[in-house]
Amino acid sequence: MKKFWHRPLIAVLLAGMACGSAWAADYPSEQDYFQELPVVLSASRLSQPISETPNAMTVIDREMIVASGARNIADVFKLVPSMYVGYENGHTPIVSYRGITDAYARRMQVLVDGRSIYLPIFGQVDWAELPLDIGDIERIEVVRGPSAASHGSNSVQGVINILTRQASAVPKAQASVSKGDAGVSDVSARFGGVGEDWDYRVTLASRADSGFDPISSVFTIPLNDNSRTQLINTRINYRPTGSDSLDIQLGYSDSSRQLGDQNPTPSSNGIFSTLRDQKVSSDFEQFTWLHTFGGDSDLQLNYYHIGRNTKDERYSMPCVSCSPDLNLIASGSYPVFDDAVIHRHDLEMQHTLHTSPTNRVVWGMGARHDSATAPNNLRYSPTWREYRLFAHDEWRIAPVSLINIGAMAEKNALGQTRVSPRISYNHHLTPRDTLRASVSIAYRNPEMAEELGNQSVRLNNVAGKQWTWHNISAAGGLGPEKAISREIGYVGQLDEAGSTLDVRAFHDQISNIIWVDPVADPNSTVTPKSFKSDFNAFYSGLEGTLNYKLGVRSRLTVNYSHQVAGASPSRVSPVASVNASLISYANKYSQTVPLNSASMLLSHDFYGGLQLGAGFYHIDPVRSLDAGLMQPLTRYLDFRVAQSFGGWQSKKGRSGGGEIALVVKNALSDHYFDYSTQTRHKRRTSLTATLGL
Amino acid sequence: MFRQSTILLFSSAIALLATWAQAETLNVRLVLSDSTPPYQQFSAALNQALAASKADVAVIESQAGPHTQPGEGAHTDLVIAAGMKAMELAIAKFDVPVLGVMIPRMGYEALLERGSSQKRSKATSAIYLDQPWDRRLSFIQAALPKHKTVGLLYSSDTHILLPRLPRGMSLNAQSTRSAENFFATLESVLNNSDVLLVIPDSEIYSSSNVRNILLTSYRHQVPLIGISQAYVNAGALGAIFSIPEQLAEQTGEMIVSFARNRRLPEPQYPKLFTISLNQQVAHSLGIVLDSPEAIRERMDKAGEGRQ
Repeated sequence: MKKFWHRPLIAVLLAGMACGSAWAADYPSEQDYFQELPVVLSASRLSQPISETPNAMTVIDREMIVASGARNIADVFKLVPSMYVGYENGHTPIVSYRGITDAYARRMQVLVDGRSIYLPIFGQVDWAELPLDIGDIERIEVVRGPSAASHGSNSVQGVINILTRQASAVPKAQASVSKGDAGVSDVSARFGGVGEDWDYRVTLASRADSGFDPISSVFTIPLNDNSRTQLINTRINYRPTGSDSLDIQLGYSDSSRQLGDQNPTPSSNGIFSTLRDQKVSSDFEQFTWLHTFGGDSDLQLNYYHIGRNTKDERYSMPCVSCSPDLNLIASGSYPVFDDAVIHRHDLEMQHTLHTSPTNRVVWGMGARHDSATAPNNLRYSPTWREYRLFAHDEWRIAPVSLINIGAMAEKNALGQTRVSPRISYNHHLTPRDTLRASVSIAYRNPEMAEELGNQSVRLNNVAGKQWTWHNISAAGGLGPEKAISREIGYVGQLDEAGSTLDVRAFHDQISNIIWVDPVADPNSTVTPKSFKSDFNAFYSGLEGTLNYKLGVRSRLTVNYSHQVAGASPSRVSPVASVNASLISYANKYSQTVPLNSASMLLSHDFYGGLQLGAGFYHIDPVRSLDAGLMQPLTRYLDFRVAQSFGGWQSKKGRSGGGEIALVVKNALSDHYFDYSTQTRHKRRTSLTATLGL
Repeated sequence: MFRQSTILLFSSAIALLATWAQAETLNVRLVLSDSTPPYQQFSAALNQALAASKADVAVIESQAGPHTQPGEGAHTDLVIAAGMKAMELAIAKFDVPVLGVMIPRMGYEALLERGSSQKRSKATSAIYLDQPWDRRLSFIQAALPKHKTVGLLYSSDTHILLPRLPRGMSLNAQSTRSAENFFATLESVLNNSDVLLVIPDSEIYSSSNVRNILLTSYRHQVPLIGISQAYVNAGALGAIFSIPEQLAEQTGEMIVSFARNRRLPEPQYPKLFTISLNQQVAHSLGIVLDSPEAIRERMDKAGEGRQ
């Protein structure tokens, strides 16, 4: 339906007259020229272009998300250089920047529309049960590198910033159904409306699958990782005046996930992960009020609450072939309840202002209140309060050079105050070529589980000795991990079409990395884990992204990362075995990053509404410190073919008409495994039909 | 002695001129659509321009309303109608030549078409509020030389007459048939355009839509070129438009010329225009903009080249 007129052509577009003003519906009037308009792109809404940001940044837009064929939000991050994406099981993806030390990617902040979903107790993001449908994501910005000065604690290695679609940008109504291998059965429906001073959108979605196939040849234990998630999500934008905008977002999700083994393993020291359904429900409420003072100054108040309720109840079973001693100690069936209730309240004020045409300042303050009740995982039910004060200045010292300078001062829940500064200098060699150099410091606060973790189950009393299964026993007294990062980068525009190249070399040093410290408990069947500042580590490397536009209809993105890491113990333990394990871990640390990793996404729009997307991924061997085996070299290919019909079609969305899409994951059928050695990624095909109004 | 005689000579010349002019005083009736600032600014600037021209013109101002009568006050030689409402009334009620100002070309032509049967004989002319297409495109070319495809969005019942495109430029014009497909069409236009050019179409560019259009085009990193300062303040990359003061100056010249020959020239586009740019938006979009003066200079040069 696109019409192009090329020179020298005179075209007359059809007759009739637009109504002009309130007084006369017959003629076009001058009112179009004199109408008052609210300031829309006010100071806080204007983002920095990639060539002027203080950090390297990867932007993944809707077009790329669609072309990648990703069904889970986590899979999208495979398109970020140096990002690790793996699966613990079918419903527990692991997303981690700079390799992977353990299943909880702790050194990265994750935000959805400014709402931190990096949650207490363990410090992780539960990607599978987020009350957010992938179809509602407008774009994802990934800050590669520490950004505590702008995004607060835990922005140690990077920040993921997920931006959802504006209430007004959603079609009137749309429904989508997917069916595929591994029991994939997804349904989503969304609708929205646009009014004079308000817009809204609502999404209802349900996702279900039967997880991974177990590796039958190696393990005889069937893997149980079926899952089902249902969610509702709404966004309402209300504009009472031209200078005020209130954004309300609400969401709720409910999921059921299978965990555990059908048959107990003989070597579990008396506690088994029995087969059960873990139930998780999450909700959030977010209110953002933006007031614009003319075009040069904005005040934003943001409040949100996140609630999360986990029910995970398992029982131990008598050991089948344990030693006679252990049979006596753990002869019964003991409840292990990992139930948890979390509440997070966060309030933030942010003021953005242009102090001059060449200077923009963002400053503000915030407070966070996290509470958790997890009787079987924490010593007590803590309430953690954090306070922060931040300022960032973007100063264009000359038309060709820009300085970003900022800092955040933060008082964490343990009463420790830290200041995270950052300074960067961007120099435009030409309007198309920019060099960037930056230095920053960031901190990661200890998680509740690291400071207050306690997991213990009472077993039998044998000969006057009360035995326990004491898995975690945190001694406390931890301090934040500290990262110093230096980078130099280049951002270049390659051609008129907008192809870009972004390369950077980095060197990060992280000190006081918190890791496991075994403690003695003579009454426990297992050695309890405490946590201590164990390591100092470094990461250096080179990473880059090429976004190449091959004409209007094709796009190629290539990401590459070369990284090395190393660590040394930061302490000496009086216990020789602890020292030995520290040294052993430090030696393995270099394996937590893949030496080379790369991803490639090609998308092409054929004439007639046919679209093709193909993604190829490569990861060199990598090992997580808490997983057993080394993940070998992994390579796989995903592709998506879609045909749209009827209505209005565009690369980024459909309105009216519909679309049929075929997605094949791991098309070359390399039976690879990643984080978990119990699972196999096999070829998976799914079909999605979408119909819109 | 010399100075005295000069003054004498000068004052007698003025006296003479005044007498001559008095006999020929042009009675102008200025009808404003309403009393909002744009019309008030126009009126003030017109009075200033006429005063500066020293022509003997008497202006009586009134607002368009059901009670506006041609017979009020003195005899009228020429009606200046500011705005469509005033123009419609002036054509209907006055039997003297009417010059419409601050009206879009489409409005003017539609009005004449409808009134053609009634009062064909009466002389009418106009200074349009719109910028000519050549100027708008030349502005885009001068300000954004790398932005080759211009996106246009119009409601299906708008009538637009598209121009010859300058070399290297192409147009991606799409119409929205209903509110439902508005965003799909907008996305489609933005996907295939380097710049979005606003046209006066109140069905598309209503104040609530402008917000969403600006946000969506910004997300697509496509700059928007507006039709007034309000657009630039709201977040457009730039705009080219004529302010009431500039229109008043041109109107003043036309009145002076009318006083001399009692004839109205052909309807014309504004001669004077303003270029306004939003540097903050430009920075954010990674666009390097020249100063308005440099852009104007380049437009002039391109214009000479074409001629």
